[in-house]
Amino acid sequence: MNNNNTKTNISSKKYLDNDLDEFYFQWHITDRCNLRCPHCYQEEYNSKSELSLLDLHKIANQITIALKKWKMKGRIALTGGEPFLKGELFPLMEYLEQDESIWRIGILTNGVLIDQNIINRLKEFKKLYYVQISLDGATKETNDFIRGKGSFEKAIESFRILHKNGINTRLMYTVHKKNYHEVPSLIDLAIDENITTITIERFVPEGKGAEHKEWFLSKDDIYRLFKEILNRAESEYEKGTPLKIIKYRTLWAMLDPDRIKKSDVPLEIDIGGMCSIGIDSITIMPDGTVLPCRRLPIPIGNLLNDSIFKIWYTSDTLWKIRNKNNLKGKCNKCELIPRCSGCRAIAYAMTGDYLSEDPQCWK
Amino acid sequence: MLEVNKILQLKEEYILHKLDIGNGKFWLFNIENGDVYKLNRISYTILSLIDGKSTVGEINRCLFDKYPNKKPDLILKDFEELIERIRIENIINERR
Repeated sequence: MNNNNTKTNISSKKYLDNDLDEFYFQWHITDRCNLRCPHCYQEEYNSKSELSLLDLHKIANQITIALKKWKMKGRIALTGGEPFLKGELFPLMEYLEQDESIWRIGILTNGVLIDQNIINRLKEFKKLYYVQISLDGATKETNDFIRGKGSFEKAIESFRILHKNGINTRLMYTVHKKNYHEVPSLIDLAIDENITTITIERFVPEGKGAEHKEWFLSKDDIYRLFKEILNRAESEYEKGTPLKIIKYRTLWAMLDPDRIKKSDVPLEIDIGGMCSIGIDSITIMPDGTVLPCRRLPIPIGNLLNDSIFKIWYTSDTLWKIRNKNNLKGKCNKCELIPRCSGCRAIAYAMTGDYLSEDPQCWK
Repeated sequence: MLEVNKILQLKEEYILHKLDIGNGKFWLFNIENGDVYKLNRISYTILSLIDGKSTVGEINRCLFDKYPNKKPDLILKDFEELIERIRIENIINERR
């Protein structure tokens, strides 16, 4: 820095980082749910915070204004609670689909309510990219112990009917002590059921899940599990299996630091990814409250009262997380920062400090 | 040439932000329409001083003190270039 340089410079930008071209919105349109999973990040399951269709449109307008300003393509995942319990789901999808800035729409569901009538409605949406169903076990016994009786068979039935009707299916698996041993079988199941993508997400003990901190996996367990998943993903990739196992998440980069330096690694076996908080995603709650991430329950504004730009550019929480110098412990100065910054939500749930090191980091 | 007794102020929809990474990143945001401007350090410093209280003369004297090795006429030129740019962009209010 030259302290004697007084040549001023001001340049217009479309966004903080001009290289980004997609933005992800996870929009929880209801808290109502027909299941009561013990590890859930929710605490309430009522409709008191739900918005009318008019208010949902107001929020959608904020989303599309931002996307146009940022010249980004919008990916929106509509979820709950259970999104199919909210009557405004399809009218909202119709509204979103009309806007050119919305690129892809996904639905995150427990799969229990999906029937042919719902499938017929879903097929009307050209921008519907996938339906993601949560499972918490590869067997009926494990899954139903966690998600409730009958939920496994119903979810499998929904995977099948969606596939039969040409709708991409994804599987979300929240991994913890009660189900991590079934991950290999889960991958078999996903291949058998023609599921396109599996996301194996680490359990964040918040909401109801805070009552089950004993389900939280140790760093050694996570290391062994991720290693096993990576080996399996590589093996399936070599065989040409179309299933995609998501590994561009935090911690994964440690499995092969050399791999993340290469630019020609196929997506199927690529690993590691930064937490997207403050970079290219936000979560919207049923009442319009905005969170940095659904698993990090620190409100940073409300889209019915605040402009999305005000939230995005003035939130102290977002700025603290954007500045990786603020990270503590092992995460501070970690050379893997471009491909990992630890899970801020897990840090917060386990320590009360979202800037602390990721407690499952095995480095 | 700006009048020395003029008082400048960023419009209320504009906010400045400094990110302490590396040599620093400096931004000006319009929180109503989403306009984003990337600044260099001196531009950030000047815009920080445009607080609706200090006069142009006071700001310039502050800059002269901050950059004692720089010729005052060059500092004034750089300052006025920035003010002209943000005037065009309708970012500031001006009063005497």
